[in-house]
Amino acid sequence: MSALQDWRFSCAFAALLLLVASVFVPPWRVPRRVHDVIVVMDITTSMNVRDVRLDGSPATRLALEKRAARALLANLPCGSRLGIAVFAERVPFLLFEPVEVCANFPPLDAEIAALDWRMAWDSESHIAIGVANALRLAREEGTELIFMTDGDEMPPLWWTGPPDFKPLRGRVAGLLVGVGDYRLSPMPKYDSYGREIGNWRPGELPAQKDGLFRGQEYLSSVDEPHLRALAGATGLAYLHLTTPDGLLPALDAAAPPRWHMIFVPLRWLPAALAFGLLILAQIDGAVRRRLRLTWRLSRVAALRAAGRWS
Amino acid sequence: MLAFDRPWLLVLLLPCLLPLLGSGATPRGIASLSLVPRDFLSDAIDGLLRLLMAASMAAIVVGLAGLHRERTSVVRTGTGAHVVIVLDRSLSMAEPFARTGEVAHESKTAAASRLLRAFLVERPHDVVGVVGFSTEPISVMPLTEHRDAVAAALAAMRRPPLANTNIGGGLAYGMSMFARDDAAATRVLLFVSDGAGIIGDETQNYLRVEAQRQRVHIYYLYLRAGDDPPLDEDMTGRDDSTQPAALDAFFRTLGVPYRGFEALDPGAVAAAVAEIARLENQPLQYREFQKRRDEDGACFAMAAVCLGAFLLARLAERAGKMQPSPQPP
Repeated sequence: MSALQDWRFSCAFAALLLLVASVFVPPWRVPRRVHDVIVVMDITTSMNVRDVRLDGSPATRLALEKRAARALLANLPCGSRLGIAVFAERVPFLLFEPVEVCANFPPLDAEIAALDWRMAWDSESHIAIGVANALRLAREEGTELIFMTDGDEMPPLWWTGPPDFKPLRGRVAGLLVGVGDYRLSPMPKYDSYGREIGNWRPGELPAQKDGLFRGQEYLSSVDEPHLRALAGATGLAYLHLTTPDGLLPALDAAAPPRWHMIFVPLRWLPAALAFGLLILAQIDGAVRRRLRLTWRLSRVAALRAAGRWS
Repeated sequence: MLAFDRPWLLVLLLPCLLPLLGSGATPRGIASLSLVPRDFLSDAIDGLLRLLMAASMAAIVVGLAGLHRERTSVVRTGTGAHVVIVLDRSLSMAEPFARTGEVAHESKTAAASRLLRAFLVERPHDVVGVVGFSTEPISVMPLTEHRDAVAAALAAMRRPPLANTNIGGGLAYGMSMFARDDAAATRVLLFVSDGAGIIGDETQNYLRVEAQRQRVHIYYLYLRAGDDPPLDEDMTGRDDSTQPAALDAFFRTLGVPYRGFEALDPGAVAAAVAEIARLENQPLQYREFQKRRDEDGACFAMAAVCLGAFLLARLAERAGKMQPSPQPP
């Protein structure tokens, strides 16, 4: 009987072919869902209102907003790209263009953590106009958009209402995110060094020049009707942010999928089969005898041990 | 460092001992091996073949357990610095340079963004941070060795600028970035602006103290449009601290290495940037990242080689009939 007719030889030969295949098998290309997104973060002073909860304690809207952005950064699948812009006045000021999240995680995370309301170049917040500008920015960059704000227009929206969103409507997918409680809360006041000095009180805020001011501007709440209207006009989805990790699921639901090819290695599969075949090829009479002997000895040992310990 | 993704799979190394236990026998027309005289060479070859099989199986197990070289960083010494770029993002930066250089009608902002990115490409080991300032300083990118992030931040700076100019705030914020950086590296503050402005006394003191304490090298890159005052304007007898020449004089009083550059067009910016690159080449310790490398393919290849050798040996076997050994008469 030659080696070629021996079944154990055949097993080992098949294993060899599988091993050679495992060295040359290309990785499997699988699409994975990613996002290219610009996150616009409102840093105007009304974001300092403490009317949300974070880790069970009262926190400012800004703190929740920053934590949500960092959670998004951490949860976005590799291959996603994230850009951050800060919003004040009418401008979403792009800090950095969208970059890959996994390779650049440390500086991006540190950057979001470093954001502060003191960086705002103006105390006004024209949110409707800001949303329009953010949509243009996201369109230029070819990304999705997340705009986080409390919707607190300061000064109040002019009687002509928000700008015309028709040319922008539906061009950019994403979220308009409301941050803050529905009830009115006092707004902290700061001195010229940026130190907190109590809250604004009735009549203290700049001249109530016209009928647009309702006399309650020293208090603030999330202006959800306004934000829902803006979302409806722009084609963005609206989300009321209550927990830091709410952004990614909502973005998944709101934006059409983008796919990024990732490589899943497949080497292990033929190699594992080869290993199985080689094991099979080892089982001969002698091995069986020895295994049986080992099994008996171990049972005897186990019984002895049981006898001793029981 | 070598490591495993699934170390628990290494339990499978135990069954790899099987080839050493088995008889290795193939049924032959001979009643007993004891009929054959013991032969040292045969024993050695037998042992070798068993080892080959065991090694092949063990190599597969090691590969399946996910042997890889971990992602590591190696500290190396090169030349470079820790650089904080403080970039003016006020409205005037949107104006075009007086003379158009290589790019027609390029704004100061766009030219600065483009040339700074080129500057950093030439300096691969620098750790870089970016601060933008308008009415208030804005953190744009903390000091980092991740150059893609820095490039993305500088690329975003070619977008339209914001509002007023608060030079003191920008400088102070840039200086504070070094305070959180404990590396023993040369510190360079590169201030890029198209003008100057008043710096409050308190901020002046802060800048003086911090610049000396941290031995910061300061460079002032003044992007000058045609009719702006020059950097070397004679300020004697004038008390106008809003002029670039006054800011230049202030930097000179700080007691740290300082140079001012006046750039009338993008070409001059490039020259200034090249000069800074030439000056700031002190030794720098930097980290070099080495990617994770999977070694399972190598394991399987080795298993294949061992198994191939084993099978070749098997093929060399000849089943020929045993000649009965000559009986002594």
